[in-house]
Amino acid sequence: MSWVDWSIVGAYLVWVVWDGLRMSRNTAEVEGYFLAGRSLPWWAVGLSVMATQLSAITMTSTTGQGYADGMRFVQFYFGLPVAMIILSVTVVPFFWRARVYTAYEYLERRFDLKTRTLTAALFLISRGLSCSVIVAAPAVILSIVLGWNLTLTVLLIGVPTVIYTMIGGVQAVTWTDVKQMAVIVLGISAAVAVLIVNLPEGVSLGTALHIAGAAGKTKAIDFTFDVRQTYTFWSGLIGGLFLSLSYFGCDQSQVQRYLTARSVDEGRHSLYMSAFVKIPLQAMILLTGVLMFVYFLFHQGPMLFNAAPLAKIEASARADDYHALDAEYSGAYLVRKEAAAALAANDDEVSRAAFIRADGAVRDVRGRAVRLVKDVTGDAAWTDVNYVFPTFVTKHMPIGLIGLIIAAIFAAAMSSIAAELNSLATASVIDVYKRLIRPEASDRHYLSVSKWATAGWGLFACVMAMYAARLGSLIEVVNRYGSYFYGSLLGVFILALGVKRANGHGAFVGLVAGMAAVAYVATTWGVAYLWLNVVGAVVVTTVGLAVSLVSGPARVRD
Amino acid sequence: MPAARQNPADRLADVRQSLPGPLTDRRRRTAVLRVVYAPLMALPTGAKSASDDTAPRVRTFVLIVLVEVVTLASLYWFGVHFS
Repeated sequence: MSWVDWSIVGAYLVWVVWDGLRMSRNTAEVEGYFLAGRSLPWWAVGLSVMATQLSAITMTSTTGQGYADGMRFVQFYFGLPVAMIILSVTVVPFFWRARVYTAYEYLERRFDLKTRTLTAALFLISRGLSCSVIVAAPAVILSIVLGWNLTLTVLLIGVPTVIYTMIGGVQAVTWTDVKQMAVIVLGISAAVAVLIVNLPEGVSLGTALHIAGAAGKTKAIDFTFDVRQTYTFWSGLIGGLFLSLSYFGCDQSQVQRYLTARSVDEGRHSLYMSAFVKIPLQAMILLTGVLMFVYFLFHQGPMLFNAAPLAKIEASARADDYHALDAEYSGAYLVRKEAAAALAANDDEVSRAAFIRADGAVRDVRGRAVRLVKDVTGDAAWTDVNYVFPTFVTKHMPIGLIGLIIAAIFAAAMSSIAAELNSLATASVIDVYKRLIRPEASDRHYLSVSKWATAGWGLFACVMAMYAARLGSLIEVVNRYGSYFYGSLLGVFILALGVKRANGHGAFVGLVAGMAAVAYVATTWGVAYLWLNVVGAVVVTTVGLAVSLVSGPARVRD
Repeated sequence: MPAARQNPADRLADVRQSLPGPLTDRRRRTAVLRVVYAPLMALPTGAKSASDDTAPRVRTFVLIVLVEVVTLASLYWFGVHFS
């Protein structure tokens, strides 16, 4: 990276901390620190909701998915708009009028302490680990692509975020999220512009998309009904609906966003923003990946975008095999480049068939190279998809824009981490410390504990990130297991809000049964993970209701 | 409601006529938007009064669903057109 790009990244980091501290007001009491005194406008909360969901993993992994699989990942979000409508008439007014700090606090009022404690503990464990993954994933990628020291990269992402989140509370988190969202959109737009400008002479945007379409990258919707396929129209619409209901309705990192809104209506409006914008935004991020695919048709990229295992391969007995594959890849690339140029010049059946054949040959070589890496490293889940976008940015973008996009990746990571640290501190203080350890203390004491809780979770995330980063594919495993809880948590809230006869015993037993059912189905049936949210919610609701009917009448609500 | 207004084309003609000034492209677009938007505006808001900000807005929900349908149709068209 040149000094210009370093300056842009440095200026961004200084600015985000300064701005976060500058925008923090009314943080002298716990309600101001965690809920901004319920005073924020809908558009700021809405952007914060989106920035919290959009992490650096989205920027690197989703663009990589666009490159490798095309647009089909967009189906993941098809249930989101409907989920926002349902949440806006159910949990938003419930939580807002209940004047709670956390979603789990409401569960004690409705059920009992054990249900509140279990759900809060599940949130703290899963979000704590997920927060470390959100720090680790971009740190690993940036350290490999840019040659930075891993520990330094983790600290560069983690320390500024902890500083402004710890001191400024939710006000700092929300107002920096607003600006970070702008940096992210600007960064992605710059990448799209560079990709379009760098199309070869004679290849228009429409032609480029036709070429990508010939390779199957533009197909966004698949109506196949198969519960083993991860991304289809139905898994996105139904499984995605349950996942969105759970994430936006039961996860404190999102619930806390709209609890800061100045009225119920403004809380609703903040969710509507995601309902309108999320699918087009994700489509644009995936399109960036599709355009990168076209870019690398005409500009030779590396055979494998993740260069980390190369040293190990060179030192192994398979080094010659790898070099032979690399030479074969260069040959296959040139054949594909010519086929793509021919297809661009004349889109007929012959040139299309030749391009599909040539693209298949390149994918075959890459597939064998990936298998070789897996054999040598022993990492069965190894992939280089997450490295395509950072490689494109650092090797093929002009000076200045590299800094902007690295800053955008930092912004995406920091906005998610800040919201998660803030919500982890809230649940730790409100659901654990204040409820179970020290119920009677001054507001000043709780505020002080809240700030130290934020710092503590920040330290935990950074230390775990350094550990997780060295475990490679464990990152994927943690992400996947985190999603196992979501459907079951949703089931508890369905019982709380929608089933009058449900009681605390039912909710607790239902939650345990739901998680057990999800673990069983996930490990034995091979069902795609989006459907696990449906399984969890249905089992918790059914078992919870049955146990409630057997165990007696529901507790009278406060 | 007059019989002529039940046909969308007639309604469009009515709205065009109701717009003051010459029929420019911009005014044509305004007329189309008004006809398309009219059924949406006719939906109940769900609010008990003009100052009631607690009731869910049916109009917004319909708009969200409409936008999603249009988005999904566009994505489907994108896949088919550029295949």
